[in-house]
Formats: sequence, C-alpha cells, structure tokens
Amino acid sequence: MNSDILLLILFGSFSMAAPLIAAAYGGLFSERSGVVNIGIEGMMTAGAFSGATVAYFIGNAGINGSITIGFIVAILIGGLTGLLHAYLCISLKVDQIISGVAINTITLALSLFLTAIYFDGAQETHTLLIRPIAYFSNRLTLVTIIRFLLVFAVNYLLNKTKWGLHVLAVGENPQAADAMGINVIKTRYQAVILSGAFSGLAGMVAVVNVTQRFTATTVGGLGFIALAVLIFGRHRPFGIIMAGLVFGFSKNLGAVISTIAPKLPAIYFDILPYVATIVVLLIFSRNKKVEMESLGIAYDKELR
Amino acid sequence: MNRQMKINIITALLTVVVGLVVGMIIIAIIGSNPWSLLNAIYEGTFGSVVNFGNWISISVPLALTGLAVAIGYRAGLFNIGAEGQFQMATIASILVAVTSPFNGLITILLVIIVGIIVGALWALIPGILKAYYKINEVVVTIMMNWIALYLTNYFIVVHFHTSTNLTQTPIIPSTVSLNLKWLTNLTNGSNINAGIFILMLAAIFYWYSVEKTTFGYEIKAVGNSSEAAIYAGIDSKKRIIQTMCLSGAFAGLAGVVYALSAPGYQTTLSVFRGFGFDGITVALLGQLSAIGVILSGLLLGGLRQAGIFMQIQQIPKEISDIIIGVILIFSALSPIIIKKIMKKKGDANE
Repeated sequence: MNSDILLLILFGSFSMAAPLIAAAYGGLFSERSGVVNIGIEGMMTAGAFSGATVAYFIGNAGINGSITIGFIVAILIGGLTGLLHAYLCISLKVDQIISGVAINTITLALSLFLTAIYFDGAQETHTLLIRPIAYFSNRLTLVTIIRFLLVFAVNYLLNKTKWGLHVLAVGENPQAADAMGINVIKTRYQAVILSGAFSGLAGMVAVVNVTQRFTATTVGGLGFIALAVLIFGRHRPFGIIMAGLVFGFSKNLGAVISTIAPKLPAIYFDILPYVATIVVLLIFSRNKKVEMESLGIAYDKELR
Repeated sequence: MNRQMKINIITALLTVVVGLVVGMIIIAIIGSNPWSLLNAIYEGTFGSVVNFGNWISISVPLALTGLAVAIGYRAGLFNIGAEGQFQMATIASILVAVTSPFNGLITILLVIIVGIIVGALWALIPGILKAYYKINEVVVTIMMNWIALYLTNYFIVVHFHTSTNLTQTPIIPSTVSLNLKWLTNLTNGSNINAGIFILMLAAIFYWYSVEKTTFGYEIKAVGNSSEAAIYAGIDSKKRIIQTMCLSGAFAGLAGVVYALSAPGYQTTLSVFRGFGFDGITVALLGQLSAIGVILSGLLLGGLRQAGIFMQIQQIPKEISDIIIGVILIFSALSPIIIKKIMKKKGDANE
C-alpha cells in the first residue's frame, strides 16, 4: 500500500467521523450533566432540514454565503430542540428516554411535513445551489484546522473551565453541587441546549457532506451511531474522538479496499465498521467507566 | 373497576385528544380544514370493512415489536435492536417459506419457529455482551441493526432474488400466506390475516410470563436494581440473556407476520423499515403492559391509516407521526400532572 492510499484512508476517516464526532459531542454535554439524550438523531434531523431549506432559499435568492447561514440556522434550530428536551426533562421531569424518542419522531415527521409543504409535496428539499463540495474544498484546510481545534476546545470546555466542571458536578452528584451553590437546573439547561446545537451542526454537516439536500435518509440513523460513539467513547471527549475514528477509519478502509480489490464481496466492507465497533468494545470492556450516578434522573430539590 | 384504572383510562383518552388537537391546529395553520383529520381517522379505521381489516393488519407487527421492546424494558434493557431482529427474521421467514418442501400448514409452523429463533439469536449477541462483559446493549443493538440491514441486502442481491429483479426476493407461495379465506371474505379482501391471533397469543404469553411467573418477578428485580437482584439470589446474567432472547423472539415473530402478509416478498433497503423504532414508541406509550401495547399498536396503526387518507387531501401523511410524538410526550407528562393535582387537593383538604 503506498502512502497516497494511506493518506486517502486517513483523510476519509476524518471526514466520515466528523459529523459523528460533532453529534456525539452533542450527547456528551447533555449526558455528563445528567440528562440522557436519545434524541440526538432528531436534533440532527431538525438541524439538517432547517439548514438545508434556509440555505436553498437564500442561495436561490442570489445571496452569498447561503451555506454558512444554513449552518448558523442548523445550530440555532438544533439548540431549540435541545431547549425543548431540556424543558421536558428538567422542568417537567418527563421520562428522559420518552422525551428523546418523542423528539426523534416529531422532528423527522415535522421536517418531512414541512418539506412537502415548501417543495410542492416532494419528499426532499431541492438540491443546494452552490456546490457544497466546492464549499468544503475551498475551505478544506480551514475546516480541518477548525475541526482539530474543536476537539481541544471541547475537552478544555468540559474539563478545564469552571462551567465544564459545573456540568460534571451536576451530572455526578446534583445534591452536592447544589449545596456548593451551583445552579443545577441552569447548568443542565445550558448543557442540553449546547447538546442540541452540536447535533444541529452535525445534521448540516451531513447535508453538505452526503446528500446536498434534506431527505429522510440524510440523517438516517447517524444520530444513533453517534449515540453509540458517545457510549463507546466512554463519555469522554478524547474517547469520542477515538471511537469516531475507529468507526470512520473502518468505514473508509472498506471503501478504499473495495476499489483496490473489487472481487472481494462488498458485504465485508459494509459491515466492517459495525463489527469493528463491537470488537473494540469487547477488547476494552474491562476498562473503567465514567461514573454518572444521576444520569436519567430529574433533579428534585425537595429530595436534597 | 377501581379508581386508579378509571384515572388511567380518562388520562389516556385526554392524551389522545390533546394529540389530535395539536394535529388539527397544524392542519389549520397550513390552510386546510382541520376536521379532515377526524374524518381521515374514521375513514382509515371504521370507514369500511376493508379499511378496518387493513388497519388491524398494519397494527399487528407494530404491537409485536412493541412487546419486544417492552419485555426488554422490564429488565432494564433498552433493545433498540428490534429493528435488526425483525429484519433478519423477515428474510429468514421468506427463505423458509419459499424453499420448504412441506405443505402449507407445516411450513407456516416451521416459519414461525425459524423466525422466532433467528430473532432470538440476533438478540443473543448483545445479551451475552451485556451480561458477561457489561457492554452497553444500546451500542451493540444499534450496530447489529446495520449489520442486519447490510447482510439481508447482500443476501437478496447475491443469493435470493427473482430472475428479473436483483433487489427483490421471490414471492412466498399463497399456501404459506397467513391469509385466512373467511377473514379476507369477511373484510372484502383486506390484508387482515392470522397475524392477529399470533399477536393475541404473544400478548397472553407476555402478560403471563411477566406478571405470573418467577421469571417475570426476577427480571423486574434485575431491571430495578441489578445489585439488589444479586443479593436476592437472582442469577441476573442468565436473566439478562433470557430477556434479550425473548425480546428478539417477539421481534422475530413480528418479522414472521410481516413476511407472511401481503405483498409476500421483500426488497433491499437503504434505510430501516422502522418497525423496531416504532416498537419503542408503542412499548412506552403502552406503559409496558400487554393490553397497553396492543392498544397503542392500534393507535399507531390507526393514525398511519389516517395518514393515507390525509395524503389524498393534500395534507402530508407525516401529520400522523407528529401527532404520535405529541401523544407520547403528553402520556409521559400526564402522571406528573395528576400527581400535582392530587397533591394540591391533599393540601387543600388538610
């Protein structure tokens, strides 16, 4: 194997892993603060639909920077779904799994519903006008740099800043955190909204990278794989990177090998990332897990 | 009927009403007639015997995957993998149905057994990994879903397709179909079939094993706290594996019913069919009880049927799923609201 192919695999792994890692970060903040987020898929869907639709209409109106605006909209709408999840789970104390499942159902249905309304009964939005691939290749180095910085930024935010430590504290022991004067409710709200924003961003990345428009398959389970990456990465920023890369690498390895050796049945490469994830989990199953005692339990001041 | 049951029924009905009102508001916002929703629901369910039969037939697999998710949930296991277990069982069922040398009835029994086993085996892997290696079943079942999707696609394209279409399995012989002549005639040729009886048996089995046996008691103990279960002398490893297999078996049974219903063949898929994910909604909405799961399966099926009729009136069919999501939220919210009301009443009485 020459170095070009190796480079191709490595680079492909990063681009494959990027939306997964971003979405898994989404889950990270929420779950470390103590709120289960099974709704990553739905938050991504909301971001993907709103971003793709706004970017299309703005681009169609001849305004520059439509995709950038699409990204901003996706982040905002993702954050809004995060706010909904936060309100249901933290304020109303609805079962967090149910809230997440409901968000998945409603966002996909509402996105397809609105797609049909805005695009004359179609099942997908129109393709974005500015070629998204051009969008990324012009800014490739920039995007890659941002991506790497993001990794460190998230790690720094969660483990080194005061706010991040508050998130970890309310996730581990909300009663103690409250006693120390940390506002549990507010911190959890912020973490879950941030979670939605990351997921929305990931949804728009999927639009730009994969389908160039919004369809039912744009997110199509990516949010659940991100959830798997989050758990696989042991709810730690660097763990998520490694988990995302294992997945992205094996997915890309398959794609590259299948072009080198077209005679091998494609099925091996298709299932490789999923099997690899399970195998890696098995290998590292004895490692220590993050303690998250309060995950899934709404905070009730009266029980303090 | 005791008081708690009355409260449950009233809140369930109110929850559905809230969901429908939200749906009607959305329809009004897009400028259509909101009452058309109620009309579509009536049309899709009791509108004619054919629609009634079709409603029942689309609800049956939903209720079965609902039972699959529900039994896992009882033991604290979140089986997101009902989708994959369903998918593997569906293709296995069609394979047996097409290749079986036996006559209709024996083949049907054989298909049911194979489907249950395949579904259970697909769930066995996450079960073992959870029980012995403490690997989160959510991750493994998500991965297993995709493996199932790719495996079945590959199997269809390479080994198991019609002579004219690479992406479609052969059609099952009509003798192996679950269709019952008298039921079909009774409903003017709808898709309703013996799946409804399979569901009833499965629901009774679910109710009995969860509510009336030591097994049911023990898995609930494992679900509530596996540490307490260990102190109580429960072999939680064994129970986790058994529950996962049972969960997979229910999903497999759903696959059997789906495979042996109209149209009697499968195509390759680019995304999941969604029965497993719907099963999560059905189980949660049905609050994990057998009767609740059947009712919520019918609710989901009825709203999906209504979607078909909404589409005819230029209202996107996804309105059904929006309503389902809203109902799900309010069903989780209602016990909290009731508790608050009760508390206020209690305070007032003091």
